[in-house]
Amino acid sequence: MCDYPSSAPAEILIVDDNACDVRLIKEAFREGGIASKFHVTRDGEQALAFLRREGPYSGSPRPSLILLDLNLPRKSGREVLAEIKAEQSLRRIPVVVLSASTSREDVCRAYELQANCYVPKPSDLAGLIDLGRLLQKLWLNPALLSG
Amino acid sequence: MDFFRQFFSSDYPPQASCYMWRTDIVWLNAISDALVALAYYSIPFTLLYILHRRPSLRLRGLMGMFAAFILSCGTSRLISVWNVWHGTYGLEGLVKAVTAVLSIATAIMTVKLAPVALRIPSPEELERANEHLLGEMRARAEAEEKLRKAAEAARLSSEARMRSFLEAAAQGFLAIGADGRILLVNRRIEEMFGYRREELIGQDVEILLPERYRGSHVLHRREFFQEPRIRDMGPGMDLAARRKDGTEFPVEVGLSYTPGENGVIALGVVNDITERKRHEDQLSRAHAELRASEATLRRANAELEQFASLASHDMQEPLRMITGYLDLLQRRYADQLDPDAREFIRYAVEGSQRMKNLIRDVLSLSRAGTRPLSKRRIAAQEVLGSALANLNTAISERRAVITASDLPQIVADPGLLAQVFQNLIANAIKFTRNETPRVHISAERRAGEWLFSVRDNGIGIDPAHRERVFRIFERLDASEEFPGSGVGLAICQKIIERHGGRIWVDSAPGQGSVFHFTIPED
Repeated sequence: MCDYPSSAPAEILIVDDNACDVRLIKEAFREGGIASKFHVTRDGEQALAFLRREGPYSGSPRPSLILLDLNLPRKSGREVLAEIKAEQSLRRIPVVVLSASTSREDVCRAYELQANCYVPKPSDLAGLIDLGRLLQKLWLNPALLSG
Repeated sequence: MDFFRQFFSSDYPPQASCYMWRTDIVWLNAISDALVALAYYSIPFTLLYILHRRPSLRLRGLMGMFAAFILSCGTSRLISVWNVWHGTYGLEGLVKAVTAVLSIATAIMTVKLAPVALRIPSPEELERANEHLLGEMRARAEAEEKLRKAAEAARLSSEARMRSFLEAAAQGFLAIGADGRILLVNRRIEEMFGYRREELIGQDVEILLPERYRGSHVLHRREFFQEPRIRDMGPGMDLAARRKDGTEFPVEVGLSYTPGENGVIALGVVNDITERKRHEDQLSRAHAELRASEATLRRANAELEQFASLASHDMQEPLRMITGYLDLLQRRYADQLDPDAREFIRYAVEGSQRMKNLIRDVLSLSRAGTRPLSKRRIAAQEVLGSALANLNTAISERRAVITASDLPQIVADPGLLAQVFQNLIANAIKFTRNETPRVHISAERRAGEWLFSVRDNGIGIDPAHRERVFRIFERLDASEEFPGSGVGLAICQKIIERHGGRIWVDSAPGQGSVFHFTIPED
């Protein structure tokens, strides 16, 4: 069941334990003029709780896009990915794996687990801004949100 | 029939009637004829006896004829005696006729054989010849005796020489009888084992072995004598030997055998290999140490590579933060900062950029050493092409002229080899000051390999530094003029060595450089 509502700013969930990284992503999106609202969880368990609206996340919105790091405390990015894609209500949300790793194994595993895209973390701000614009084009078109 | 009866009849008057039956004449004739007959008869039998006993006698035919002739003469004499009292003249005539035939034949034969008979040497001649022969035989016997003595002397002197050789031999030598007793030893055995030879001759060979091996050696020895064969010295022929004073030392023994009067004799050649063993032990210890340190080194190397890879990887994260936020500062706040602050930020950006390059190079060096080689047959020209594509910007910026002569098909990892071309050409372009950079790539077939050369017209390298340029992080020019991490050539070296080739440089300052590398043919 697809909802095609809102021209409101896209809700983006960033799952990353590195605050420094999270902030840079947010700033890069801002620099790139991408209107979006960010939510951040710092480990895998929190991320799933957010998506399932459990505990403190009972009022959380359903995100239009998930930016998922692979190396997370408690529950790894792969486990989070697997659980999202295993749940009927969550699997339509696009998950973009954003990782420093470029190892072939990591890339293949992520796609096997139904990641929508695997993107290496850009090494500079310009690259990050470009990435934001690309993601906006691909998944944050207000008319075509699948989340 | 009647004729024959009359012919052989005795009806004629007997001969005695001619003698008027005078008793004295009758008997004189009869006895004389009888004696003549007897003598005649004795001659042929004697001749036949001689012929029988001396088969080698010549003129046998003639002698046979003589015998027959004399025999018939005797017979006619006998008939004459008969006819003194009887008158059988027919028979007498017949016998005379036979005698006549035989005598004529014998006479003819004698005449014909006369020249042959004359050629038969006389007994004197034979005697002389015999004496001559005897003389010759004596001379020959004397000569033979001389020869024998000379041979014996030669044998004795060669035996003496052989013995002196055996005594002077660097190896111990011993002969052992089938009963296991020592028959002979040389001087070297005495020296090695500390026995005098009188103490060894007649002893069981086991006296030369440590007690613990004696029992089994007796069995081995018996096996050897049952089925003797030559056994060379060499690996597996090492034994422990025991000196008179009870000390032991390692020996190497070669065995052969020879037939003797009382069965096979075993011949042993013995080498004292104490020194060699010591060297071998040292060598194998050194070898083991080398292997151990090689393993340690390999492990350390692997750990280092892993460390380099991990460290570089993990360093990229914080570096990304540094450059990211510096970028952000520049983008968003450059207007609000004074020129000093902007300059500081610029230096920080440059530093982080250099570090980023450094990490990238360390990672690529690590990958060049660890990435599995995927070799295939490929045109070197094609590999060069992809290297040049990566260098497009640098080439057009410096207006570099890159040329290549016909490059061969080779077997190599295309990605890694492209990196070699790329690094060498990038260096060639980078290390040129004022002129248009000119780089020429060529290849030449050598024995079992291709020799590639990358020639430039750059600043060149002092021959003293020809080795150093291939070391990691080694930069001959630390100035800002030629920036770089000093990893490029180390990467090239690593890649070429992994292909089983070599890389080196020929250069002189101001003369340009020629980097050579080889790639083995399949």
